[in-house]
Amino acid sequence: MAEYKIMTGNEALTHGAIAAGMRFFAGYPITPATEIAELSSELLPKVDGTYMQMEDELAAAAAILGASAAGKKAMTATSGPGFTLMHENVGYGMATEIPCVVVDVMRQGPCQGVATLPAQGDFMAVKWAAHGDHPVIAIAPSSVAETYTEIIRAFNLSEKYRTPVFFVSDATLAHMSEKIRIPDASELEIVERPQPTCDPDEYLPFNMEDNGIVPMANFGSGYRWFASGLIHDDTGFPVKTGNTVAIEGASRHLLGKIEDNIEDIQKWEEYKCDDAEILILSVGLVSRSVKTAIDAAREEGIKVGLFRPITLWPFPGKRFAELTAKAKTVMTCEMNLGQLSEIAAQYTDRDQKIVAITQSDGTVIQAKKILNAIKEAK
Amino acid sequence: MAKNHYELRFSGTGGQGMMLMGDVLAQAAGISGGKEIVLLKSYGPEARGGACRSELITDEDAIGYPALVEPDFVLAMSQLACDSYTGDMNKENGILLVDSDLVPNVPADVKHVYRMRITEIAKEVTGRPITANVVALGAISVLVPGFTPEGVKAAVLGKLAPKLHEMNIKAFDAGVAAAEALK
Repeated sequence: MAEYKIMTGNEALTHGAIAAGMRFFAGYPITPATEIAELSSELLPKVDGTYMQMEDELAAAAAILGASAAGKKAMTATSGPGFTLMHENVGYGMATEIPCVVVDVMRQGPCQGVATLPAQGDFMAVKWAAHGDHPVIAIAPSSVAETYTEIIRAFNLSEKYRTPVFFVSDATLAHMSEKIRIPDASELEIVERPQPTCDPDEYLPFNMEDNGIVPMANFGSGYRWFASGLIHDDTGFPVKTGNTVAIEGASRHLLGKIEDNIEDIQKWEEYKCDDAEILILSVGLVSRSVKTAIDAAREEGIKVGLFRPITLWPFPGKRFAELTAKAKTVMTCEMNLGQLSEIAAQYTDRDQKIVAITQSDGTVIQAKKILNAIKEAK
Repeated sequence: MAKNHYELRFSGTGGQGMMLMGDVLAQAAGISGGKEIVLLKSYGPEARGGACRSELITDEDAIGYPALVEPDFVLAMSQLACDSYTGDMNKENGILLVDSDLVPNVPADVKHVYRMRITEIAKEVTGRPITANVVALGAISVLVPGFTPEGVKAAVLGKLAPKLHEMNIKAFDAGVAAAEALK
């Protein structure tokens, strides 16, 4: 039976992850993500799962890839400073196409920043969390309820497309409590990892040709495969340096498997966009302040709407462009000094007005400030 | 900005049970009352003695900006809390409830102030000052629109171990009676 509960964002994230099938968590505590580790350590043993406290974030990212390669759905959770340390192994996960979920509960940065206060300064950090051309799926919820449902989607996308998936929350969303509906297990769509059925001697762990996604054999199951971070071919072994066709093919494969499935991966919300002359782009918790401001502005007759990517990356640019084409003014609202505003500029005409509402003081932007900006932009 | 929107703040010092008050009223409003809620907690590094508060928003509709803008109700269980956390409240229509032994000075511009010897009442009826927050919950269930003594009492008992029920029922009922006398 579905039931209603009151819980924090971090609690909802952990319960959702376990509902999605997470059976391994490795991490290193950091504010404001620590409660995810804490609750995982309590809940995982009850479902025959494993919690590992690691010596640092490098090891945490390595451990979840190892656990995933051995067949467990795995996650780690951290904040900006720890996320930076994970970049190397996240890139390894992308190259070897090992599913996992990496949670970044954003706090004010850069470096240690302000440990306890929220921010949205990691939008671009999650996009570019590994060097080289690499696939990125990142999801950003705006409520505790959505944290629960979207972390499940994060696991599902990770399994479907054999790639690490990022999940970006923030300190306020992590620690505030809201009412959420916990669905019955039978209501949930959970993607389970398929296993190869071919003769183990004939198993190829990759398919570079058609952006294919081959079932990833569990380590130790009798199917041997080589998980190399070097550019490799279908066998998993590095390609020869002179084989330019194979090198390019392998690079394009990683991005191609995301691009081929972009409609399945992208998700967004449109709030009062139908007749919007002012279109606001906002992501995550702060988008709720935007909604409050939009409701107030509409009472004064201002036609304004919100476009909110739930899948932040790959950015749902096609739909955003359709909406910006109808708007006179495009606004962005974010708790950083202007990361989405650069994205918005890519999808607007050169003569279209872009107004960036930015704030980086460790608080959630108030609806009043957004309303004033809307009135000025009108 | 939305209708049916109510903002509450419970402030005091660490150890007075301000966090539990938020939990109880979130449960009463959100689960039993069927409303949308946002509950926020803020405390210093001290486990005991530091300034702390929990804040609750209740609304019939989805809650946008998830923080208080103009609190409709403030409980202050210390002078420091009263001085720090009443500045932004709704002075005209908001309600300020203070423990009158701990908060001698209340802001002059708040129109609806209830002074109650919350901790003293707790000591009288249970012998335990730690039940002061439950006395306050009883009072809130009477003074604040949208709550009922039955609903809040059920939420209190739901949060506490059965062996604590008898003592806390006494505290709760005393808070209800004291608030009715003030009204």
